This record gives sequence, C-alpha cells and structure tokens, in this order.
Amino acid sequence: MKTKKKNSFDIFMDRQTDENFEKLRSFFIDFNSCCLLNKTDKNKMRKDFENAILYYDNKHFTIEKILELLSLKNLGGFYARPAQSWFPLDDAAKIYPVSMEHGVMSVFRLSVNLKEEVVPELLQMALTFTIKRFPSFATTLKKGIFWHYLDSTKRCFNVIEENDIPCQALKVSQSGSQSFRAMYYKNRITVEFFHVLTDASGGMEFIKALVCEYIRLLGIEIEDSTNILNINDNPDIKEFTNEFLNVEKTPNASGLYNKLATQMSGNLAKVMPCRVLHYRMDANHLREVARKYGITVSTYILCLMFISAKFSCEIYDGEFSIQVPVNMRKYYESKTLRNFSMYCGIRLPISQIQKIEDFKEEVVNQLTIKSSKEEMHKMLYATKKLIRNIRLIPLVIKQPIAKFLSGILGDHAFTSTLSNIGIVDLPNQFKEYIQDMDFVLNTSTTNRASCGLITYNNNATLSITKNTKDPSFETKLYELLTNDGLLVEVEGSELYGS
Amino acid sequence: MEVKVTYPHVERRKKGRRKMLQILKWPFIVGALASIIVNICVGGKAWSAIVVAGEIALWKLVFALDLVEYNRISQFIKATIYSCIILALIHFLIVPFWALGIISILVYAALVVSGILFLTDIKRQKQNMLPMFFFIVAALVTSAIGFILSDTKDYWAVIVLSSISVVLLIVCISVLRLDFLRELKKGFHIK
Repeated sequence: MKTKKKNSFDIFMDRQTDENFEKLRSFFIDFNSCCLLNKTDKNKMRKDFENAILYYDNKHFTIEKILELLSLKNLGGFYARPAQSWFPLDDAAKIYPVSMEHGVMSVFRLSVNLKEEVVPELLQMALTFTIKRFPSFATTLKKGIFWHYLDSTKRCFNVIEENDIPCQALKVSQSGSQSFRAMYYKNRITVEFFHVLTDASGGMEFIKALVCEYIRLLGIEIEDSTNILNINDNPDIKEFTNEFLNVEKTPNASGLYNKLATQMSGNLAKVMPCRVLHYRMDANHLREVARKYGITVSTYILCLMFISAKFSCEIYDGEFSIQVPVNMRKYYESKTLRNFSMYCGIRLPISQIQKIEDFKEEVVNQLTIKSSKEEMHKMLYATKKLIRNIRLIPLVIKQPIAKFLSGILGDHAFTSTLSNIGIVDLPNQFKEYIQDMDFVLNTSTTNRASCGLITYNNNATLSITKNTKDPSFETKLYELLTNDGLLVEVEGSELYGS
Repeated sequence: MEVKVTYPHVERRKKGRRKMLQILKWPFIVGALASIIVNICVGGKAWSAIVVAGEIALWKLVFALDLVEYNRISQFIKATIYSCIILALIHFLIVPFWALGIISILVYAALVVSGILFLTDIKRQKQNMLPMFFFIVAALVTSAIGFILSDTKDYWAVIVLSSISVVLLIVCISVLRLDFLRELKKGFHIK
C-alpha cells in the first residue's frame, strides 16, 4: 500500500508531546473555521502557518509562545467572510488605470532596510495578518461603465522574493489579482503599490504596520506603537474617504494644465527604470548644509536637481520644470489612506540656472506660492470639477482621450520629480531593528530621472529612478552633494538592460 | 562614484509586450491602410471594411489584451461580438447570405456558453458578471429590434434569442440575489 510521504511539518508533529500535539491540532481546527477561502488559498495559508511554526521551532520557541505569536485572532474574521465591499477610485487615482499601457503603470515603492536578514516565513504571516486592516488594499481593479473601481478580494496575499527590476507593472487584469507587491531581499522589506490604491502617505502607513507586525512576530515585545495603525483594530471608514469630494468650491479652479518642459538629453532606456540609486546621507548634516544656504532640505535638493538637469541637457534655451508632490493632509485634516496629494511645478529657464545662490530665491518663492494652501485648493477643486464634468461619459470614450492627455499634462509637462516624504515617525524601539528606508518613485515615459527623499533614524536617503543610461544627472548630483561636504554612500541596482 | 549593488541581479529581460505591440502595430496599420487604398482604387464592394474589422478583432483578441477585466467571460463575449460584426459586414457589404441566421445561432451558443462559464465558477465569476449582463441586454435589444424589422418567417430566431436571454437573466438574478444589484451598482457607479 502506498503511504503518504511525510513532510517536515508532519515530522515536527510526530515528535511533539501529546499535550503539544493536541494544542497544535486544535489550533488548526480553529484555523479551518477562521479561513473559508477557496481550497488553494486555504492550503497555501495553512502551509504559511506551518512554515512559521517550523521556523519558531528551529529557534527553540515553546509551543505556547508560538501559538501566542501566531494567534488566530490576528486573522480577525477577514478570511472567514465573503468579499462584499468595493471602493470607487478617488479623484486622483482615476487617471492611473485609464492611462496605463502594457508594461507601463504608475507603481511606487517603499522599502524598509532592517539590521538583520528578513525571515520570509514571518513576513508572509505579517502580511496575512496586516492586510485585513487595509481593506482598500485587499482589492482587485475592475472596470465599470463610467469609472474603474476597486473590488474587495479575499485570498492569501503573497510575499515574494525580489528578483526583478523595481517598479515593474503589476498584472491586475485577472479576477482576484492584487494591486501591490510585497517583497523581501536580504535585509530589505519592500512594498510596491499601484497608485490606484494609495499615495506615498497611505503606503507608508501600510508598510509601517507590516514591519511592526513583522517585528512582533520575531518575538520582540512592542512597547510603544504610537503612530502605527493597530492591525487588530476595525478599519475606520474615514480611511477610505475620497477627500476630493469634500473640497469646497472656489471661484478660481486652476493648476492642472502646464506648459511643456524641456527634458534631459539622454536617450530613453529600453528597460525602465534602467537603474535605481540610493544616496544615503546624515540627515542632520544635510539639514545643516541646506541651512547654510538659508533654505530647506527640499529646496536644496531641488536646486541641486536643477543644476544636475542642466548638466545632463544639450538644450540651452528651454525651461526645466520639476514636479513636487504636495501632501494635502498637511492642509486638510484627513485620515484617508487613499490618494490625497496634489503637485506643483517649479519652473526655471535653463539659462537662469547657474549656482544655487543665483536662483535659490526664485525656487523658494515658487515653492512657497505654488504649494500654498490656496493654490492647492484651486487645483483640488479643478480636479474635482474635471472628474465631475466627465463622469457621465462612458469609459470607452474617456479612456483614449485621457491616455493622450495624461502624457501632455503629466510626463511632458515636467523634467523630473522630487517627492520628499519627510521624516518617518516610528517608535524609538524600532531603531534597534531598522537601519533606514527607501522611497522609489514610479518611472515615467519621458522623464529621464526622478527623485524620492525619505528620512529615518537620522539617515536621509535620496533615491534616483533612472530612465536613461546617461549617468550625467546622478554623477553631477553626487558631485554637488560631496562638494558641499556631505558624505554620501551610494547603493543601488546594476544597470538593467546593458 | 562607487555603487554598492543591493538589488538582485536580473537576467536580460525579453522585450516586453509593449515593445512587441509597438513593432506589431505598424504592419497592422499599413495592412489596413493598404487595403482601404486598394479598395478605393479598384472600386467595387467595400471589402476593405472586413479586412479592417478582422485586423481590429485580431489585435484586440490576440495582441493588445485587456489590462483590466481580462477573464474568461469577457474574452469569450468579446470574441463572439467581433465574429458577429465581421459576419454582419460580409452580409451587408459583400454578399447577402445566411449570415443573420449564423449570427443568431452564434449568439444563442455564446449566451449558453457564457452562462455555463459563469455558473460553473460562481464564487469567482460573480465579479465578472457585468460583461455577461451587457451581452444579455444587447441580445434582448437585438431581439426587440429584430421583432420589429424582420419577416414573420424569421420570428423563430427572435423568439429563441429573447427566451435564452431572459432565462439567463433570471438564472443570474436568482443565483446572485442581492449580489446582482451590488454588481450593477459597482458597474454603473459615477462616484
């Protein structure tokens, strides 16, 4: 008679005492009632639990401790109920699905670099436990008659080992497909988000909760988790709000249309992004350098980007425009995890760009005026008005027009982008486990480089997403930073497609 | 500037679908334009319309696949609709034949098959109900138009088409109940 070959978990079970065996058996009986997914997903999730238990066993955790860490209360009934909720896209997100093409999708990336290698088994469990707190992330993109929407999906969301180029398009076409990608590589935990789900602030809330849960699963007692969403709390309806709907009327709705900007000159790479680079600096030192010029860190980096862009351009009479996303949460009280950011374009004639001292005032002025609450309000209202005006046009007509316009209003209107998330606020205890963080912006079809800045634990990381093999931009930027006395450690990817 | 590589090595990527589409679209465009020009020069019946429709169908069904809502029901319905359009064009532009009869049979079969595809995997496919719903509605509208325009001898086609559509609609509603309304609400939302 054929006997079933025992797997490592069966062997583990065989060597348990009767008492422990019974505890584990009843744990999995309870699991069956907490997880009513389809057979494939249920088996996958059970396997994830088994792998985590085996990991703990290797680390000599007691069964009581293991079952406490992996407690089924963390599943919270999410996997036991059918998917019923759905979320209309927020006004800012509506453009992303209509403008996407095969292999081109607005995907941004947040990473947390730990001080030790990631344990995949625990990261998978952390994701399984965390996703229920973010129901608008546990969704699949669907197509309606007038707009796309996010349809709730219940499945075992997967963590994968990173093995591809960053920020590649996600496959969202099939039923149940996820619109984010959770990954690990050595000591790095990464989540890549399709912009329909959220913006950088919302993504940050997700990755903070994920990493906090991961650290808890490592067996570390979290003393203080202020500023991190508790994964076992009920999601708040305010977290799914399309805040654009609450924007009050203003007589001067404007700001959506921009003149075309000059692009840097390097040939666009066949593979995009063709490289990702991270410039790591001491945040205090960076602030001091910026202060020496009498400007903020964002303005300082913007100035350096203008100079570097000029260095990377063979056209001398155009205008550069750098897009600066503005988080609307700083102007409007909001708990939303959806998109709630606008942008402004800082525009300078190339001829005016010489030394920082020569044009910093102009950058400061533009930044102050264009990112002011009044201007942002006008833009928010313009977006709301536009969306409202075209809401009754079927998607099949809107889509080709939107695709065409997004190129003009988006990519071609800017030379580059600088998005500064600012200082990430995590409990002090986390400094023991987290080294630093990265924020990589999505690639565009025309811009040769874009930059994302994030600061954690006094480590400021400027990430450059490159779309051209021409190294002029990043080399000049590095030179300018080091000339100002900053010690820059450079990390990044290989040059893809070479 | 020394770069410490902290990303996995990625093997040279095959040219993606986007690149392939960028290259392939030109033979399609040239083919379509050439057929229209030749058709105009040679004169006669508008056969180039069938060439263009065939190219569009091939492009949409084989190459430029849907980026959202790519599922077995939507693809099957899409293929049926393209086939019907091409048959109708042949009938009206080239040679009137029994295309309308074939189209009717094709639509009956498609309704039945999409119903089977839907009912055999209801948990997952209920999210994909909308394309089938539109197909049913289109079939009902066609039946109504057919009833007004066709001869009495063609009434059988209209009756069969409308009956199958109504039955499938009732089955959908009774199986999905509240979910049916929920799916419609999602599909038609303007928020």
